[in-house]
Amino acid sequence: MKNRLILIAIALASVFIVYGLSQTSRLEITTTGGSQTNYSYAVMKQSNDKSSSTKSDSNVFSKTLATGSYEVKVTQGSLSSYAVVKTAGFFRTTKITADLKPELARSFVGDNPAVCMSLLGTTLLSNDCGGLSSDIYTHIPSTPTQPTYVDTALSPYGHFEGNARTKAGTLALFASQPPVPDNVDAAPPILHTVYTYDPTGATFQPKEKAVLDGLSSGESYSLQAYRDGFIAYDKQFTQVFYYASIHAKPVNITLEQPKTSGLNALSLSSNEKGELAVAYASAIEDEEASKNRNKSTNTEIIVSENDKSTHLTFNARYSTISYCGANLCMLNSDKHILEINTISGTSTNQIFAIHNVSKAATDDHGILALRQDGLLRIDPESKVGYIEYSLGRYQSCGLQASVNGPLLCLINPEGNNVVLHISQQANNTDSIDKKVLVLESYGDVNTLSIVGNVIYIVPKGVNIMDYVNKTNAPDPTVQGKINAGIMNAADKAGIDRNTYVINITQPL
Amino acid sequence: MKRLLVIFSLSLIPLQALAVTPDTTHILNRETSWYDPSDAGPKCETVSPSPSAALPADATLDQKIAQTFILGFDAGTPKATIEALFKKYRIGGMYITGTHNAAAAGFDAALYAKLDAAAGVPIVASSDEEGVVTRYSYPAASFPPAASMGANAEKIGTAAGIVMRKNGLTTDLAPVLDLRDVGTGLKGRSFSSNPTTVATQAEAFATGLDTSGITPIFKHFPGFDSTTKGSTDDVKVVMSGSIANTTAPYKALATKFPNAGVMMGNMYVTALDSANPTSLSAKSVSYLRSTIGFSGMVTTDDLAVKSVTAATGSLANSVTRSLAAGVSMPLFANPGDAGIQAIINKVKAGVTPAAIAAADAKVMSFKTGKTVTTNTAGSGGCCPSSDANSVAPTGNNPKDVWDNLRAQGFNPTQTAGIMGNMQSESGFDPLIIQGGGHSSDPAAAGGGGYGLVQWTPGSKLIPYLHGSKPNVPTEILALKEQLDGKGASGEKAAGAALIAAGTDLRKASDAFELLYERHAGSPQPARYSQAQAILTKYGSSTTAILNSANNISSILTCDNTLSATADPRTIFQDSSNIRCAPGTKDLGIADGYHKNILIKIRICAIPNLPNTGQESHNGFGVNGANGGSVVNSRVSGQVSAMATAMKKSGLNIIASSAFRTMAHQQSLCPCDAVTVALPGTSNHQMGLAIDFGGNLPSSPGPIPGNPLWAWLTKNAATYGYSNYPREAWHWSATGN
Repeated sequence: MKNRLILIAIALASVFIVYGLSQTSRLEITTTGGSQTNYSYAVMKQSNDKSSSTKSDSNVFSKTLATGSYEVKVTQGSLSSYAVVKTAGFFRTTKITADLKPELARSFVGDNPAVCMSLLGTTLLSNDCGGLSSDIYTHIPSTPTQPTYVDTALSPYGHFEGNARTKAGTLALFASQPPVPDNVDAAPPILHTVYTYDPTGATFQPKEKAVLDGLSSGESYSLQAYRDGFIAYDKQFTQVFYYASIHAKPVNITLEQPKTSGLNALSLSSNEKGELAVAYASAIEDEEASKNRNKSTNTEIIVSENDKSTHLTFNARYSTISYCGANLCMLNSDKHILEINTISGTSTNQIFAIHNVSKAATDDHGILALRQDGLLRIDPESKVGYIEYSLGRYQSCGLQASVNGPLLCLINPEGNNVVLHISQQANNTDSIDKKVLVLESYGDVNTLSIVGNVIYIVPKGVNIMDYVNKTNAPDPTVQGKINAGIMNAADKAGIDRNTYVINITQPL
Repeated sequence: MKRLLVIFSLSLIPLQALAVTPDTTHILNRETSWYDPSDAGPKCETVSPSPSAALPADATLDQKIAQTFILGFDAGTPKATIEALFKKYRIGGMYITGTHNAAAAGFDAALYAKLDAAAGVPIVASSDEEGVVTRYSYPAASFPPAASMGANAEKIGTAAGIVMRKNGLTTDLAPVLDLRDVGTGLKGRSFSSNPTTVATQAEAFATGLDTSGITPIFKHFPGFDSTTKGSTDDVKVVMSGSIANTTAPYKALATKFPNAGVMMGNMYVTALDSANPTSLSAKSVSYLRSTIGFSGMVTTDDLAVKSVTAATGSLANSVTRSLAAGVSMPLFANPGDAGIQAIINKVKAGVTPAAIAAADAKVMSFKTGKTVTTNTAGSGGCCPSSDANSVAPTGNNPKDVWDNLRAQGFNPTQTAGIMGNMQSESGFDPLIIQGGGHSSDPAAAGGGGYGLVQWTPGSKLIPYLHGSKPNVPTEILALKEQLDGKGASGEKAAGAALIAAGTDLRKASDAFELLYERHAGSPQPARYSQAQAILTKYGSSTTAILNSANNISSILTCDNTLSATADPRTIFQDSSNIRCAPGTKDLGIADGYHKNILIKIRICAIPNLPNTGQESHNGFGVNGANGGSVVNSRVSGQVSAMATAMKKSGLNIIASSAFRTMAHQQSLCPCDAVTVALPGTSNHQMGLAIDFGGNLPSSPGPIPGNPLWAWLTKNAATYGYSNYPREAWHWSATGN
């Protein structure tokens, strides 16, 4: 009896030991790039979002961990490397190489954008995300003699509905209504006209235009690149038409409706194979309404290809759903987790996830995940990336994939919204975005605006009315000292005046 | 939908009068003479009163002074006496004392309408409706103390505001921004002792009031905290600590509610002014204006309390000092006919005409919900002095000027080019006389310059004002007319040069300087640099104003996207610059009414929502609707979308009424203010309400089995529409 108990105890202990070993892993990080000192290693376990960080002068860092999925971030100054890894048990070592990369070059392209943004050449366009009453705001770049301002230069084409980047160039869809003769009571039908633009061109003159056939007068449509052409679709995805070119006849695409009632149309996305993923999600609703609704399904995605549809349903509510390669990138807006899922039958399998993501987008270079520490660029295949832009004292107000790099809407500490374009062609060399914050906080700066390499500053100052000479300007000596102080502050902030033109105006 | 349920549930719960304690008392001491002109405070504020709410032209100076008063009346005062006082003095407003069932005591919508008529201008009908303090009855438990409102503050504000509106109030003397409960037995009167919580919840409550059409007044500035004991009534209260915490909620809300009011407390605050109660303190008003950044109407706690009259010797002295300090509407318990006249006499002797005019203009702006522009150069006051080298006022005028020029179709560079010149000419001051001083009469400039662009002589401006008072909007309209070459002093060459300047700021600035201002010599570099400053500061606003200098239809803003619902903060505002949504037909500008105030609205016909109402069939002077429902342009997009959605659902609906003219609304009387609103108060008169009379019965909802009722209750909220619970057929953008 006693021996049996001992055996049982040994067996139990063995089980615990084996279980413990099976849940223990080693992670070894070898860092490349950068100098050979001052590394910071941060490891976060995704199951509980707990992280630990270590500073070291060694480019090799190893750590014993419980098995699971981890986010690994290695930084050295402004260099960074990021990876998502899954560690194996029984003390097996998971080795990764962290290739430190610098942040990318950034330039200011406009102030105070509307929600949706795009770049045409170096000119920012923004709009209220389309609709039958939406205008396009053109953010005219600053010049050394004229500050930036917003105009509606494209409005003569009508109300902006949507745009898409296709093989044939950038397309924009406008709704317009012919003038109403005085003797006609009925409103004329709305026409939906698509215009083509050169995405790298500096002018807004369209190359070509065509009224799209098949679209209803009273509906608003969006555009999406698809196969060799594009599709135009209404906000509910009940009308979807494929156009091989802007002059082509429409081909009706019938999409199945969601099986779950009460969901709102969210997004439509396509991949290279021509599959369409149409997403519906529950609204962010008030407490009272949510009590009365079936909560088992908050998101439904219908994947369609060649008249075959698959319905995927989820408890979670997703705010962004789009193809990233063959997979689906899905941002869980409640948990702030970006999931990269593969479609398998009528369900999805998670390949990996990125936590603490507030906004996400995809472009030709991979996945963009905006977090508190900055804009993360991830390759969905290797699960490796880096911070291509760190937020610093800015807060984010928007992220949009665009030509040659993303557009970031940022709120500066003064509460003003600015837009940065993050170039994919060059590395950051001057951190101008951080330096202007220093200058803007200088006490004698009233307003600061920067677009490109031109900075306009409205200084503080006291204007004096002179009725004889018809001026309302400050004492030149006093203002001269104020302006000299601002220039000195610019120098102290490290703004290179050979690169950036600083134009101090009269005070208001 | 949620709001609808709340409103509906309120209508089902039995009414219960809540135990309250009055906020204001009316202990009156007769006056003795005392007034110190050195404490006069700011004397001039540049304001833009709405022409639709102005004192009648024949108003006497006495009446102009009384227009600044908010008088407290108790239930015992005969209503005829109140009406007679309002008629005699054109008193600005009233509040209620000493009763907790005001409606039963006769303080109802009918009385306020009579007082409006008696005064010849809409009155500020106000009351202390805070939750723990109320004068009217609310459904049980629907209006808890502020401390208990929590996350429901906005809903409570909305629901309570509806009750206030029903009773004819325009203004709530709430929310309380104090950091502790002030007043015996008023537990829970303060939202919290945490200023951030107070700011958040007071904002929510005030937003709810605003949604229901009630204007909030934040009180008691600069706010009580736990470091000071006592209340405001009869005992002198001195606050000697920092006011950083107590003023934090005011800072948070000042710019969010520019059309609201602030009530000055009667306590002494050593951080602001140890010599005067806050309600009489120019320094405190200046602090509120310049440091807090509040530009709206300023009133006071009851000036008839002992603690104040003891300091001044009389109520008349208190009111005089209050106005001289820059208060817009002193509040005090009714002193009776003779008392009012005595106060007026004292004010005439102790307050400058400019200060009275400034207060009156603030009052009018408050009544119309228009933002008021206040000049605040430096921290000490607002006026440019009369000598030529005075400090020029700026305040909010540059932004007003920018917005008005843009609304007239000038593009951003043309606008900045003009404004760079205006800065040199007038410092954006529309009432300034060349050489210094102010006047609302351009002729007062004699042969010198006057106003924004210094029309010389000043009388040159007069024909372009078309009878309106000079202010930023009217002067910009005058300038536009001149640049279009209209009138005897047309400046077509300058206008053409501006258009030719296109988007070149330098050319626009020079063109205006050389061809319009005709400034001698070469262009001043400062004007161009000022234009750059203006473009830097205001040029990147994404306000949707299209770029055309000549076509009125292309300068309309467009904020009526199909998916959006109207903004409750702007829904009762002038919509003449809001474009009719695509698919609807622009019928032009009409006279809308809200709270008896005329508001210009653009009306649009909705072709896909047929209507049997007379305005849809060329009735009451509204032509061209061709049978479509006529609505305000602010809601044209959402109504059009709602009609489309109805049709898609298989409902072929014919509405029975939408926009109504004043003549139409008057023809429906006698009105009971419940099923037929008093003329001037119906949402039909703002083009915001739609009746589905042929499709829904004349009874309150719900209407089981009715497909339209089912559709509307499920979907109307998506388009910003909700039901007035007493009438199943009546749906509007505000729920009433």
